[in-house]
Amino acid sequence: MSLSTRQCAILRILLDMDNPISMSEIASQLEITPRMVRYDFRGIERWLQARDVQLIKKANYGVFIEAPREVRIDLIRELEHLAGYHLILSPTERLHILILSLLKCDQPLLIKQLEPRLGVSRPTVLSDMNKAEKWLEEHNLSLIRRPHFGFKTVGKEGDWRKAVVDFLLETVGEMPLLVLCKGSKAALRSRMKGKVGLLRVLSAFFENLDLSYSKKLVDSIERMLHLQFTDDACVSLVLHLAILIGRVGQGKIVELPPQHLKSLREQREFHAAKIIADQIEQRFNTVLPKSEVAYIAIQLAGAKIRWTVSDIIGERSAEEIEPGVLEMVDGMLAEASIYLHPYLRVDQQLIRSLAFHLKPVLSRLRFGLPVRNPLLEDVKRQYPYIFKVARRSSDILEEKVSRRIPEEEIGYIAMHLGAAMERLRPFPGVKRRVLVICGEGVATAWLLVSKMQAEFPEVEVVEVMSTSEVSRRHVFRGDIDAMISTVPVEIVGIPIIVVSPLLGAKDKARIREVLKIGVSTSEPADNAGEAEEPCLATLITTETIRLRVAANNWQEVVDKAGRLLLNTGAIEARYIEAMKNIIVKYGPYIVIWPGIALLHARPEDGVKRLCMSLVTMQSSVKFGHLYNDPVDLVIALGAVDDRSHLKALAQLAEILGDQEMVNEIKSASAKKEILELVSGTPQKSSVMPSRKDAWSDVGNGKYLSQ
Amino acid sequence: MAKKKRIEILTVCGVGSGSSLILRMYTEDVLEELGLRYKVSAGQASEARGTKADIVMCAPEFAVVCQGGSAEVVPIKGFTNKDEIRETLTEVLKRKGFI
Repeated sequence: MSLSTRQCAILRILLDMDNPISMSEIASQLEITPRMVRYDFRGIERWLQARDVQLIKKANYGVFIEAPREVRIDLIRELEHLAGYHLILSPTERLHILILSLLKCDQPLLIKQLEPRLGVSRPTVLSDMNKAEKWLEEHNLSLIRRPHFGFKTVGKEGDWRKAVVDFLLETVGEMPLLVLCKGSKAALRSRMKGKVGLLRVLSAFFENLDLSYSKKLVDSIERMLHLQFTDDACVSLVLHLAILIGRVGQGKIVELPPQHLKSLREQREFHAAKIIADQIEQRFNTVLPKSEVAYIAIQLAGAKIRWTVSDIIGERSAEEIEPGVLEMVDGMLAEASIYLHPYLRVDQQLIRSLAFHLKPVLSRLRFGLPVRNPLLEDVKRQYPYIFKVARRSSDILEEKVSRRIPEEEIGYIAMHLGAAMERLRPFPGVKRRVLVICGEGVATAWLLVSKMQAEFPEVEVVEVMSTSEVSRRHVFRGDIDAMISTVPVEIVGIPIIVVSPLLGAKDKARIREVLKIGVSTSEPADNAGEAEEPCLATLITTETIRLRVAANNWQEVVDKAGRLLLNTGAIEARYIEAMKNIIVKYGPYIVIWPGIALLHARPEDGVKRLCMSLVTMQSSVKFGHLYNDPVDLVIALGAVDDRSHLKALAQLAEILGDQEMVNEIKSASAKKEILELVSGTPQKSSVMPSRKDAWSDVGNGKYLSQ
Repeated sequence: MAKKKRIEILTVCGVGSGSSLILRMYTEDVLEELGLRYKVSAGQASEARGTKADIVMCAPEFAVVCQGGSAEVVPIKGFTNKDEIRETLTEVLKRKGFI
């Protein structure tokens, strides 16, 4: 009885697992369909039965091989000695191995060498090569490919290092790398479960990197500068240092433009970099060129720093924030507060957290350092409106650094804004004490804290810590009820709830369960106390609609549409005259759609409150417009300022831009038909309609996992 | 990556809060489609001469009133005709080197 290559691959995964795994998980690891897996299982079961090993299959639970570890190792060995056995790599795994090979290799690689390494034939290698080339190009590297020469990566040293660090973060992930820096390979192994081929290549790569020494260097920098890097910044620094040590040993030096060198000299990061460079020079008996010292300094300046609760709440003196940065924050918040909430501009917690956040952002932008934002897609999905506002607000930043701000950075700014909006949701109540552990950066932590505060009034966040801090600092067990963490941690004696920083529905349920919080009976009103901006349906009502109105000239039309507004008490009589005067003065430009006029005048012409009326004509009336005459639908608008009618107007634009809807309105014989149309319009998304949208971003029921 | 200059556009009408806003919305849509960086604000025709914006968009009736400032005045016949806005604007933006 023999096994197919695919069956071997499935079996290999099963033998690797200590816990049950579902068919679809196996399928996704091998990038095949679950049906293929199920089909292969018959043969696998028979093969195992012949060796007295049982395969357990349970619905909703998964599949696993019930055998002690030794038996499993024996089976793996037998499997690997089978004739024709070779590792079957999933397409992604293959691509990763190929990219790493291309990055690692100084000599050109030949297809002949790659075929056995990837376990596929020439055409597949070539098609993988195209994907790898695309990846390299995205990282500013290029691939030389020539017949009889092979394939070779070329590019600037700095870009090469960035690419390698990016690659490791992408394939291995932050947490396993952090654990690896501390000297344990356990997390790497469990992350690479089922990807034996990639694990092998990666392990070989890490053999040549002195991660634990670099980690010690980073620890000493933290002590020297009296600060703490976020976990992701720490990982990236360690990798950069370890790679730097290796590359300098091979005589591969980064080049920096002289003006960068000059601007760096005054920064305190440069002094720290010098001390680190001294240590490296002594230990490896080598000399680091100036550009490498500057390279370290740049990495330090751009690293995200973890702030403590007291930093942000305000015990730290404000002088430490540079005035230039504060000014920029104020500019950004001035813009954001228009669209989100006026309080944002004076929200001290937001101002501080954003100011602390911006400093490394500016360094990153200035030196073109990339930043990863693993939550970007989630943020865009969950806070679409706030993300847009964040983009607008960062225009000031963009002008300052004369560079386009990458979406990743915008995402972080959106998270700070989102956090502030979450804080604005009211929360009364008695507190339960928790400690928040966050592997990610500042913005993530604060978003989580704010969401916690908004969602669970009963919970008080005592402190926010990084994983390394938790293990270092003594936490008073009796002082807190639970730890809420975005990454898996192991601490004895305290319940730990692992959640997504965006706090999905399942996360919330778990927190409720562990902290024994009942489902809150009174959900906080989304916009309590907030003046809601009227939508079209609140303005166009039975009182403000008239159908099939007869009029002899445009003046009469304005009178009739205006009278509807006058009758509701929203305008003074003079506003009707003002609407006519505008047309007399400027011409009939107000006929803005074919056959549709939008009558309006200035707020100060006698508008008491925002109002709108809709009139259809019995027979069309000429306004004298060159193209859009004659008119048979009229909207009269009375605005009180430049902004509050934006949402209603956007909805109106949506309707009137749709010829079918316009026709329906024009031919309507009952007001009900129009009311239905009006209330059924979703608002336009591409404009900035109203603050209300921000509340729907942070409001209940729009969470990620729902 | 050098940044492309952000386009600033002022849309105007006689009042500054009705049709100019509608024009602003449609213009924003078009600029979004074109994938450009922009800032569009709406205002009264009387603001057009003193504006710092690159382009002023208005109804043809206002073109004369708007002329005379530093901005290029672009008359739009159909405030709500996206095709016209896109065509006219693309041509102007190309000429001014934004695209």
